[in-house]
Amino acid sequence: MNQVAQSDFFRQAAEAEGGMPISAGARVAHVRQAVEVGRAFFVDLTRVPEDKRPEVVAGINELVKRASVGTTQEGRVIVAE
Amino acid sequence: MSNPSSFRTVSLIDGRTPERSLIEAQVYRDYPYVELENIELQWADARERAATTGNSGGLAPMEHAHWDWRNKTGSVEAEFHMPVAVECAGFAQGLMAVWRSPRLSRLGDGSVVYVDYVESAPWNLKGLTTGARFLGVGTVLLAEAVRLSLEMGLSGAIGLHSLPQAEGLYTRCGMSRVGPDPDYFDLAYFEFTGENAICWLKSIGEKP
Repeated sequence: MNQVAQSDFFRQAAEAEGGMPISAGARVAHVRQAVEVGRAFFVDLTRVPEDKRPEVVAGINELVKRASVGTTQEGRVIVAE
Repeated sequence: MSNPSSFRTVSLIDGRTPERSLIEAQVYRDYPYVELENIELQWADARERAATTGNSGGLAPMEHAHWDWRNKTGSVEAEFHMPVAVECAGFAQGLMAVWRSPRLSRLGDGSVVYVDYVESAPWNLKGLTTGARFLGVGTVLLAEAVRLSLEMGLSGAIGLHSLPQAEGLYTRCGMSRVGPDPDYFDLAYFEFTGENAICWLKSIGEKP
C-alpha cells in the first residue's frame, strides 16, 4: 500500500466525521442531573484504598437493592470515577 | 507526569482550505495534566461564545457541558488515567482520557481499554463556527486507543460510553452498540472487538 492510498483511506474516514461531535464519557451535567432526580449520590471513596472500593460499592449497591424491594424500579448506584 | 511519554505524527484535514489538504498533527500520550484545565477553559469559552451567537453546532445541551478535569486531576496524577491529546497549529484539537487498567469486555471473555472521555475542540464542530477547522480528530484518537490496546496485549479491543450525538461515528467505525447503560447515566456503551478494531485500523490506512 503506498503513501497516497494510505492518506486517501484516512481522508475518507476523517471527512465522514463531518464536524459532528465525537464526545464520549459522562459530563458534569450528567452527574448533576442524576443526583437531582435521586438516581445517584456522592460517596467520597478517596480515603478508601483502591483495591477495597469495588467491595464498598457492592455493599452500597446491596443496601440500595434491599431498600428498593417492592418498588417498581430496581435500585442501582451509578458509579462515576 | 509533567512531560508526554510519547508522541506520534498523524494527519488532520484542514477544513478551511479549498483543497482540504492534510496537515501534520501530533498525538501525545500522558499529556501534561497541568494543561488540561486550561484547555477545558478555552473550549468552554469558545462554546459559550458560539452559544451566544446561536450556533449550537448540533450539540445537545448536555454535550456542551464540560468534563470535570479538576476532579480527575488526582486520578491523572496518580496515573489511573492517561490523558491523550491531538495538537495541531499550536492548539489542542482533541482530548481523550483512557483508564490504564483494562476493564472486562461486555462482548467477549477478554478485557478492553476503556476510554473514559473524548472531546474535540469546539472550533472543529460543524455549525459551531463557520466550518469545522480540522477534521479527523475522532479518527485519530480512536486509532490511538486501539493502538494502546494492542500494545497492552488486548488485541485492539476498546470500550466507551458515547454521548448521543457522537453515536454515528462509533457505529460507522464498526464498534458494536451494546446499548444504554443504566449504571452509567443511560449513555450507550460501545465496544470494539479486537478483530473489528484491527479491520478498521487497516481501513484507514494504518498498520496495526
